[in-house]
Amino acid sequence: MKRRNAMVLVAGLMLLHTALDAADIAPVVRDAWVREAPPNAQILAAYAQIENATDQADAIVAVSSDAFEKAEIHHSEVKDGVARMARLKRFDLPARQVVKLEPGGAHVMLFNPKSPLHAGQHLTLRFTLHSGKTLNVDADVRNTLPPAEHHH
Amino acid sequence: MFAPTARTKKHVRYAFALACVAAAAWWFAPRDEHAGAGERVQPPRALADFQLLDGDNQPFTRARLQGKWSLLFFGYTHCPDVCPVTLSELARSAMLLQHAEDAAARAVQVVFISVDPARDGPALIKSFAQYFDARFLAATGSVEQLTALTDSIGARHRRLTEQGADYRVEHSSDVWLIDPQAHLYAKFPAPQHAQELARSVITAVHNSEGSS
Repeated sequence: MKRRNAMVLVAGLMLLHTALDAADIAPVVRDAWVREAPPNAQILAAYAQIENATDQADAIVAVSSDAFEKAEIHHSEVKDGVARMARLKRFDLPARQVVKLEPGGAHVMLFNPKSPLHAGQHLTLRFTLHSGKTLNVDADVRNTLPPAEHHH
Repeated sequence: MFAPTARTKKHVRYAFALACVAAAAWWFAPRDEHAGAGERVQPPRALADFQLLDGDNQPFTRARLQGKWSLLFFGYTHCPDVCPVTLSELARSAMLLQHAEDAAARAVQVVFISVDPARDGPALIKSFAQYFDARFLAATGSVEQLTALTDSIGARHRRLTEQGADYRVEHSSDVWLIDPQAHLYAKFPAPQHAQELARSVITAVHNSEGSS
């Protein structure tokens, strides 16, 4: 009897462990935002901070958003005074690390907004990971211009 | 055990003198922020004439750079990261320059030059530039016309050979300061900082007024 109780307890703990694992096994995206763009601009950029607190390395392999025709991950680079962008097929999320999609570096490139976007609006970015998981992230549109001043 | 002999006294005096020189050198050396203040072109180099069109479809030639200071930036509207970052800094520096004492510093014109004429028409580049600051000018031209200007400046641009409408364009990330004689005066490599840009323009205006 005692032995059976112990086995039930062990099985229960294993189940609980699996459940907990499943709950926090996915990387977490924080501070996702889209740079407000000039009117008629067809390409926008989004940035975010991604924490992969799990023991498993993962990667972003696709991005999409209902607000745009398509999305890709690109990397900006300035080398010898020349700015270039290269498409990244995957953006690595190493285990137990925080990585950033940030201005002047890797960023989400958003193609052809379905309607003009203004600062303060929110939209959803969908990150598809190498592990098969999907992260739906709320991103807000931000204006990065200096505060308006009266011009003379 | 340690009696200061004439020889050690001499060494101490020597070390002290050396320390004074080092301190003076440190004191008078250009500050670190100077590093971001751009690279002077010495002597300023005359730009060759060029033929572009501005956002209102009006000729934009070398003559439009004469009589005032200009900051030029080459980019394209399908550039969502590097170009808006640079244009935002230029907008910030233009705002700082509004408060400059010198009228010539307040009158600096900022010109966004698109090196992607296939996608960037006059109306688009105008609204793109004016989003950052209503006073910003925009210009573009054929690839050959653009190359005439970029060659003269020492800037570069190249459309990458890719299929479809989503091609990318490589371009110089520098901001260029042109003096009122349409001479290339200084280059500001990326990443630019608004305060350093503004400070450099004020210094340039001040120095050249003092020398003329």
